Amino acid sequence: MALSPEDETYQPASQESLLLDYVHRLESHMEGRRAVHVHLSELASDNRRDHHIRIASSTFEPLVKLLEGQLFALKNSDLFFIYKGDSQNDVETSILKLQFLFGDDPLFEGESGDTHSESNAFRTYYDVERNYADILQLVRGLVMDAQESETGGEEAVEAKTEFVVREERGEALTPRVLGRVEDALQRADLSNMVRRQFVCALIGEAAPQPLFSELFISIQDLRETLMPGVNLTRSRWLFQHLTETLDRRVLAMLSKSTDRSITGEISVNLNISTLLSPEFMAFDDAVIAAMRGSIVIELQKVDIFADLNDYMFARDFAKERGYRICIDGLTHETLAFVDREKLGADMVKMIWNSDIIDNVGAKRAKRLIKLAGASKVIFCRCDEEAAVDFGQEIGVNMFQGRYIENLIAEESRRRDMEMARRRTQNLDLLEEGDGE
Amino acid sequence: MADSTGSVVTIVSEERTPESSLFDHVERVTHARGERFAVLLNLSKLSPHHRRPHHIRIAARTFDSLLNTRDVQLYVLGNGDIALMCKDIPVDDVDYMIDKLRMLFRNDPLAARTRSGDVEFTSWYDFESEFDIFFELTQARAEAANKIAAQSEDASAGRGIGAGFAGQPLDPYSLAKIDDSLLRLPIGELMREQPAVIVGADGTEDILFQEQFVSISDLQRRLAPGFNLVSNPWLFQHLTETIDKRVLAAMARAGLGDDSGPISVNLNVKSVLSKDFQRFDDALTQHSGKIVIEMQQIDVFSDVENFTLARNWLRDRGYRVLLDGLNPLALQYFNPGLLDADFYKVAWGTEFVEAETTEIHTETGALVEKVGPERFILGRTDSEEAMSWALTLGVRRFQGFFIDQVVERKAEKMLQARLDGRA
Repeated sequence: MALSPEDETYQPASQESLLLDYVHRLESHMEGRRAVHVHLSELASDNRRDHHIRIASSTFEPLVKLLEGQLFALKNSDLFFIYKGDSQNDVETSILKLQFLFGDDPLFEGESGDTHSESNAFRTYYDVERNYADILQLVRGLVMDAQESETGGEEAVEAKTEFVVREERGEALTPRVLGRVEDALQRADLSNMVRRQFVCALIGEAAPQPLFSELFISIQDLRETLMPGVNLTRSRWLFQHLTETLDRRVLAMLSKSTDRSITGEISVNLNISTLLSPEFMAFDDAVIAAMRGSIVIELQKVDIFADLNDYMFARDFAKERGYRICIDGLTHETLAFVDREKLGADMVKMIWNSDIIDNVGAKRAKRLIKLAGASKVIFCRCDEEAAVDFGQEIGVNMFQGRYIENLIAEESRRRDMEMARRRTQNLDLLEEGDGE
Repeated sequence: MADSTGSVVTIVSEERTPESSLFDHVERVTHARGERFAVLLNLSKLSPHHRRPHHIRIAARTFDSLLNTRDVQLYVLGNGDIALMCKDIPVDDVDYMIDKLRMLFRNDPLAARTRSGDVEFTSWYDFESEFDIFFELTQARAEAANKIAAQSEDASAGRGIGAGFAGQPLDPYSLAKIDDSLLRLPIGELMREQPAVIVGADGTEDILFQEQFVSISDLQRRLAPGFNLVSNPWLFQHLTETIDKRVLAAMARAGLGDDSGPISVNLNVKSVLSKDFQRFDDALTQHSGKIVIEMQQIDVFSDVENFTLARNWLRDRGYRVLLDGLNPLALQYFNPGLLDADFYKVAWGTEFVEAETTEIHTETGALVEKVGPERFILGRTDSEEAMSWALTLGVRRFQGFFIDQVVERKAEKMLQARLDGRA
């Protein structure tokens, strides 16, 4: 969880130990008291960022202010609220509000909407008098967990979550840092940060067919080299500005390199402002007219909606010159906002998120994809097989991502082996022939 | 200015203006007028939105293939107009390229309006019969351009504060300085308010809310004279986050009187989900029913998921949510109703009416009807014409200069009536 700087320097007693203390003191006057444990830690990670927890906590604030209860916000994101029994209705209302707030979370899938039973996946109610021993044990456990996560617990943290944590913390990208980074970018050698990832057609069980490859600058490499410790994702707008600078460098690089990079069908990510810039004109001059048809320009949805007029102008210009247009950065939530055909884009890219399986379901997803034009949709950031399985089920047959890269690697290994096998077979045949 | 129209394709390093180069060319062919003609593309008459440097740059490029294969020369003039000097080439070939260009600008009234008449988008000069007219025209332009070139040197000393949003484009370092000074500036001094009204069936208007906003042009004058704060959308967006922080703090401190009418506040989605907003909410929670939170389209689209969260939460607390920054063009491309806001503010501009076909108008009308006309507010209502356009769509909520005047006049009248009553 990201903490604001002031929180990091100041170490108050943990909420868990305060809670334990409170529960101990409760022992002598627990009559009519109730408690509820809200399992926010069970929500999908997207739904339990700092602001989610803050908002969830604030739901109980009126009751706290009326001295009806005491709220504890635990390290694992859970909330624990101990209150006077006559507020039961207010507490239930608060919980309902929270359920509504997080209504799209998979946690609520399959919930019968039963709001009365003592315990469900989202919250557990306790009668303090009746369940005192249980509560005490639970809270002791919470204190232990919290201490563990503070000290040695880190070893168990997966590499992935560690990355997320680092991503969420880190120095924020401020305008000054941005300025420095952009200055450095003018001189930095980006050629070793260029990555290539294929967009493939995947039909049934057939081997992946590469359609084009996206050339991009690895933001992770860039950060490691130019701005270690800086968190790029925390300032969306400044990051967007940084991409404009990157665009120009990438175009300059592509204009110069005649051999390596511009081979085969490629795609590049550009800002609309870049598409209309002198740098793009220079790139356009450097590219042979016949090549333009094999270049896909990827534009971000936020850029398109920032100025539709500019988008249409740039799109007409690019298409007139033979480039193809792909709208990038869509999610299953935003796909519906983009009328691909009306916007005149050749393709759209949707970021794969397994949420779609449970939250949208195959039927609705299929309709969504059909509206966008099934043959025009690319699922990107496919890290897992489920992306391909689900995609194919709903009519998508273009994919991109780490899982696809693995498939390609596997396929080429298989082919190498096949070749080797044939070669030995041929040798055998030759030998047999020699023998005669 | 780093990126003014003058610096586009024209040669800046040369001392001469493109106008005088063009005039030189015209002079040279005085005695060889046969098979020659000129076309003037009046791009300077496009709406300002469509004649920024990149538009002109790309317009000029449209003719690349002609320049490469035919005897055609192109001049980009200081005001954005483009002149083509053509020799031995079928008019249709040039016309074909101009049609392409017109397609590019089809959202602009200039290109849309004169589809057949073709009097304003381009002017043609056949040198056999109209050479003298073109000669005089280019001569006059060359002289005028030289005068301006000489003048701008003297004027530059006092330029500093540009009219509107002129000025040097913002860069990250200047943004950092502005960010810093913003933290010290008493933001209250820059806060303005503008009413949005609802027009009843009888034609009388009532205040819907008073929008509280920070005047960006004042801010620019105070903190960054010489800079254009809106030149880069991303840096500007970042700046608005800093502004949000200050506004939230100021409003939380000032509170809201019990007799205060409804207001609206502009915020980023990120700001709504911040601690600053929590403090604002703590201070003003009993007034939440009177507060409308305005969020910008560009911001909402950059993170629809968090917008949804913010919207639900705001609504749950009693606030109302407004989606700002729409225009009639946007309505053609997506259904804002999907964002489920309480209000949608659509900014008006003449270009939309002029370029609007009846078909599009009907489509827009159907969309408004579907989402609910009572949710739409016409922003930038600067004329009666704007109002009647919206009224035909069933929209009855308005904001803009024209409304300011109406509200002011009404207030004056009421004051007068009270004075008269006393007399």
